[in-house]
Amino acid sequence: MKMTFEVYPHTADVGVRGYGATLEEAFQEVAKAMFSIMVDISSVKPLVRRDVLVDADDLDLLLIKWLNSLLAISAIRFEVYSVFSVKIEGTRLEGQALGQSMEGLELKDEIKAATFADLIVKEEGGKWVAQCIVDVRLPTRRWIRNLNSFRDERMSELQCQVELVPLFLVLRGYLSAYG
Amino acid sequence: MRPRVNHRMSDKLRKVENSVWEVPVGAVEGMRVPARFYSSEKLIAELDPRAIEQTVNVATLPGIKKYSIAMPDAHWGYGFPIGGVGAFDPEEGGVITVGGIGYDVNCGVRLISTSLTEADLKPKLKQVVDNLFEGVPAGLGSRGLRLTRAQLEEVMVEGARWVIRQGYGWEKDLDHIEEAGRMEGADPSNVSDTAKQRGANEVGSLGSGNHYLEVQVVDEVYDEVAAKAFGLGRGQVVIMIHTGSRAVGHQVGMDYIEEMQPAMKRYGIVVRDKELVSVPFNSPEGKRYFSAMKAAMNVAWANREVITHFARHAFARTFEVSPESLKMDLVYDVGHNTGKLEDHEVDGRLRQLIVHRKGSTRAFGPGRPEIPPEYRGVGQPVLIGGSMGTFSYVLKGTEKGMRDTFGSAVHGAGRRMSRTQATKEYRGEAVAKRLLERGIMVRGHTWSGLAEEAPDAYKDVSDVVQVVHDAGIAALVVRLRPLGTIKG
Repeated sequence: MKMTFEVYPHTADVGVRGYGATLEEAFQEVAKAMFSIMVDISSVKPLVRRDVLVDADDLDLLLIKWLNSLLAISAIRFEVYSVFSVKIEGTRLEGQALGQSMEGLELKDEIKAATFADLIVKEEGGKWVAQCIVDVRLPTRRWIRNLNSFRDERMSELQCQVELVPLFLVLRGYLSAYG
Repeated sequence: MRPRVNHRMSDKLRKVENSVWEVPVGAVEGMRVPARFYSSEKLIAELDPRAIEQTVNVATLPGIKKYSIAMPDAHWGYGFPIGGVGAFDPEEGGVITVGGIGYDVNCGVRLISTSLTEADLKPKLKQVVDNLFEGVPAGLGSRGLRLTRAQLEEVMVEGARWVIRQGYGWEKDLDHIEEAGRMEGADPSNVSDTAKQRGANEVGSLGSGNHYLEVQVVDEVYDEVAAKAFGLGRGQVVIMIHTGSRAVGHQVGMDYIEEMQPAMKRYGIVVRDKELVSVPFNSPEGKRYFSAMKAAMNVAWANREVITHFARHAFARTFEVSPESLKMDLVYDVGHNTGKLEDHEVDGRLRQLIVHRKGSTRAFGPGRPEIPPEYRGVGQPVLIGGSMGTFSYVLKGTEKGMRDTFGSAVHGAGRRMSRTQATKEYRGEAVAKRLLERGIMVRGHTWSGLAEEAPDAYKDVSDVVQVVHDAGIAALVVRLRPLGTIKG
């Protein structure tokens, strides 16, 4: 199968890269790459739609703003996304993300920020590439447990349970992200 | 433009004095000051060429004074290397840069003393570690106090003072926090709604990554006088907390790194790395970022204060006495990802500089008015957190540090291998087991978190601290050995 996005290794962190026949496609694909660090995106159902509108002076900054907006919405709403559509006019981006609540999903790594490191948006031989390094936190399943803490004051009990998460789940997450 | 890695960077280094190497002005186009590296023969050989390049990049920024400085634990970061110091004079067009402070604003360390000895603790160690694990929210997305938006904005203005008023922590703690736990001039209206939404539940939570809470024992005393002044003695049990401003800091970093890109063009500033995006400190954008970043700094101090409260109660529960009777006083709290206006003497003249410390601890020498009176005679306590299973250290600030590094020292031990590499090569369970064999009890929220922080993934903190001591930019006071760790 033709590869349309990938997560690649980097000294201190990991990079995300999307390919496409158009700039828009590359932006859609790099968003998939980013969420594939957080979750197995094939398990994410397109149940909710979130709109993103960003404007920037150049395409590099537009990519960072697109990815960081998705990260912020994801963190605030406790959702992850797997389907993206993007329209770019000049340096204005109108995007949609389809996804679902994190609840019930097996989570992998959380991301602090999309960064300017190794940032590339370019066309080469009729193919667009969009990529950058993301500042990654540690893998966890705790986050999902903590969803409950909104409703449940007994946080310390929840924390104890999390310890029991089997090692292989976490390792599997890593293997699929970096393997 | 994509920053190029220059592997020949190491060739430009030359040793200028004991423990100090330099890339001189002129070695790379655009350098305004030399790039200085505190190191040893062993560590300089291991130094990542990219960290050298990043230190050189900082040397090209407008208004930089004296040197762009890299600490012995320097490693690749976003913009500045982690372990980088840069001071800029606003009167000479000096800049403020998000890349000099980072995405984890006011990440820092605090140390709490106790009246317990290692012998007192040993039989109760498991219980105390369990109580800490239960009492201190940690791990990814961990939640602390639930604050309304208005309350969070108050925290942004008042810092540790606000949470103490709510009953978390002791009034006297404030005397032993850098800046008394509150940066003047923080302005929540310059912090985005997104940052406030993300931060509303995080005050009083350890977070994840390399953040931790550790029970330690004073294992070696190098300087009796300073140790006594800091209230530390051999065999004494202490608690170290390492965390920051959580998502508020991340989002402030993200927001302003984006906002500054177009502004930087208007000011005609050219940087060698986009993560170094800079604007003049005395510009509207610079002032906005400074006030928002200070709001995030205040959140971090509030956060460490609330965690202190939880830790005191976990100890009290274990020993069935009050935290007061265990003398759980705050020794000191100091940030290592900060931007601050400070007075420093440069070229025989006192100037107010905006000092960026990214993965570098403030280390003020004796006599500085910023230091609490009881420590002023010896110098500021410099808290250096090790990585898991390694020693941590308390040093003191020196006059030489004031002259050479704007009163700055190391913050820990730099990474030697990449995160992905570390996770592949170490199994968390094995790490925990190995540590237990050495008498160190670890509880983490994920095993892979443990793997990431495997101590071998770091440069040896003892080597790093020795360089600082030998160079005289801070001086050894005590060494701390871990007994129990709660890993975020």
